[in-house]
Amino acid sequence: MLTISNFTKIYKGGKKAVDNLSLTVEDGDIFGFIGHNGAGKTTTIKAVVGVMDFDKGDIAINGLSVRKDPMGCKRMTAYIPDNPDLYEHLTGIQYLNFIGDVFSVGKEEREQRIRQYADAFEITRNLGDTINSYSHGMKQKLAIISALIHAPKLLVLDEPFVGLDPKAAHTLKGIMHELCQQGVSIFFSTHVLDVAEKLCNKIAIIKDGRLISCGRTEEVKGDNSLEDVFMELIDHD
Amino acid sequence: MTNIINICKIHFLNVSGINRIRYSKDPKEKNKSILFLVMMVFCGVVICGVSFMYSYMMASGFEQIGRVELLPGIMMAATCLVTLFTTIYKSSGILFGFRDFDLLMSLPIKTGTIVASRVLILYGMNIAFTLLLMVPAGAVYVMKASPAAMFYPAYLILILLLPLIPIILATVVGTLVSIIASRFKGKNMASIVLMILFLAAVIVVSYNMGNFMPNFADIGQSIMDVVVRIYPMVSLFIEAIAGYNWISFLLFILISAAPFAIYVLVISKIFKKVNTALTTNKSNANYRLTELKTSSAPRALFGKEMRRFIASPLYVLNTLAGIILLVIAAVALQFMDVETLAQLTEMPQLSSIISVAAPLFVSFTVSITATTTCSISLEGKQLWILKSIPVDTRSIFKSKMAVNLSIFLPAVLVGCTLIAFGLKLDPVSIVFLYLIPIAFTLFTTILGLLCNLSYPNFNWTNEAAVIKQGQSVVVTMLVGIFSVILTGVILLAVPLNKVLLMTLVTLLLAGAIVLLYRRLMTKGVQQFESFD
Repeated sequence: MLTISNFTKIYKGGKKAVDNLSLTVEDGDIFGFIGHNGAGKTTTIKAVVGVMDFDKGDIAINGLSVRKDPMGCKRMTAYIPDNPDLYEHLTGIQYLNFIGDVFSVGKEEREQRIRQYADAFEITRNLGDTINSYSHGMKQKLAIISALIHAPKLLVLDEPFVGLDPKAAHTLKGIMHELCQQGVSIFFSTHVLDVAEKLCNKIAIIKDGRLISCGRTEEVKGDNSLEDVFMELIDHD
Repeated sequence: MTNIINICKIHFLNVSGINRIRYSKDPKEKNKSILFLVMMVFCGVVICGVSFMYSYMMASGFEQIGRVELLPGIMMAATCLVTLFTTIYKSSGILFGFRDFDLLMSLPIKTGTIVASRVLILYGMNIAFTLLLMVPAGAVYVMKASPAAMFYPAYLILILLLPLIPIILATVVGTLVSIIASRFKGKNMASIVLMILFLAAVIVVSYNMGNFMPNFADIGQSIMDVVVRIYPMVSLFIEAIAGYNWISFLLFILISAAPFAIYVLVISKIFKKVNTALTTNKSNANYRLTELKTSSAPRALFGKEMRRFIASPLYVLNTLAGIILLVIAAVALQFMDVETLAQLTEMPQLSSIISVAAPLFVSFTVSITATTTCSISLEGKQLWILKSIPVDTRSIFKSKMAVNLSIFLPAVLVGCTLIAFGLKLDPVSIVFLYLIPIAFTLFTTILGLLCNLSYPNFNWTNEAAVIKQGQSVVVTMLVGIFSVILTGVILLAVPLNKVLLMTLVTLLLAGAIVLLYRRLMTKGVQQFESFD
């Protein structure tokens, strides 16, 4: 579903944020992308979803190149950034409808999915209020619902659990499992290693822009906990 | 005191391009910021020059009647009026409702210190403009009146105090409007309507004042009476600096400084309360999901842009400034003929050039602002949404331009129809009365977007920073005004048939529109796609 080949991103001024990164996310994978602050996770994620241009390599979603066919890729992808900055002047439902319109989601599927996910995150009653009245967690829930209403094939999430209450985090994990059973691929970054260990079937660890470990979760961590492996790799690689 | 300076410094670094010039590793970005700084300095020099020129012309008139001391008085009144006009909707974003309120209030800094720094920022923005107008006026006064040595310190002290009362009035009106508007269901719309009413009143007053200024035939005391009636501080100012009256000097300081001190105290008391009220949003939490309306992607983008526009009273008011001027002029023309207008404007030759002057005036009103000048910057931290949805960049541009056109084109059509009726123009002049302003509307719309793509700012903490003080806003306004002036020079100075000239100008504008549009859809698209 997602193939990143020799991806390199150099920022203005010459700093190499990501250096020759390659990985593959298969259909139905829940792929955890972990690394310390400034390692290059968000840069990689932004390049995958077409928010950020890049210098070398290629990124393909379901066989389509992000560079050559950005619209085709975006139609299959949903993205939730690390900070849910949404259109504050819109009501929750206006925002969801806006996303539904730009992704050409039919009326019935749209209503059904909004009802399903808004009820699951217990936010339906707030959908008539403007987003500027929402808490951080509510904005995060709204961003998640907006990512799900167009039934993406690839879900790209940057720190999706930050700001969510335990119940909402549990609901999100359930939805992620459900989606992966339907063949949807999920690529997400996190600092919560416990979550990554329990949730992901594949893990990639990035340090200073370079991939230092990648594979099935059990292969990456072996007999240790993911936290131990991560600390070991980060400190000694 | 250190904290006051620190907060002001941070604000200055945030809104100016200094940090980009000093620390940017991108030479292009650096050059753009330097160019903008040079342009701002140039604008300052132009304002100084214009102030000097007008002051000199007025002083020459006053000299003939032996009343040169009226010059600083009239310039002072004009400066205060402009300060009031520009601060009225600036105060809400600087004193109240600014984005870094939470951050500042969480720091171990006294509320009074934060208030003082915000007031100082407001004062700093106004004193720069005051000095640009009043220093040249003072220089002309010195040349014409050769005042005594004590004039210099007195003049300097008093002009430093000039913005205080307009700032108080502007903040009081701005805050009252916010408080009254918050009682209405559609508080943004109520705020916009109240502000428009107030601004229209200010324009009418300033228009009336403008009529009195050049009437040197009425001379002397009558001019003074009118100006003093509008702003009583003028008489104290003149007595202090021209009459060397110490009591007037001290009274001026007292009347400016004492209310300002009280104002700062009152603001300190209500600062937290008002800011909390303005940043707290009502939540009903009673929504029931019913049938949803779907629409196409372009329509959805347009709807989103229009909602963004209406959601910000500052954005609406800034955009409508030219339209308000157009509507007032168009309505006024229903009650006066060209001859009366020629008398009022003291342009006896106006009736012979009215077919050229009318489209130029309308073009001016539509060229000073455009929603597109800041519509990219206003995406701010939400830019990721537009960048990640499956919508072509060109469609995004079109939706942003459509908002501006749907506001300005109806205004141009209505305004031109009223003007055509009022001035009883011939059919050919009516055609150009529509064509030239429509061309300028298209030109400014595209230019605004291109300028914003070249000078974007996504890291603003207060939307006034991009709506009113954004580099792209200033550049578009300057280029727009310059283009109208250039058109005027071509139409009035070139000794050719006016219809031929107007046809030529329209074609030139059409050519410029095509070129700008092409640039927008090629280079502009690349610029947008390079934003991270």
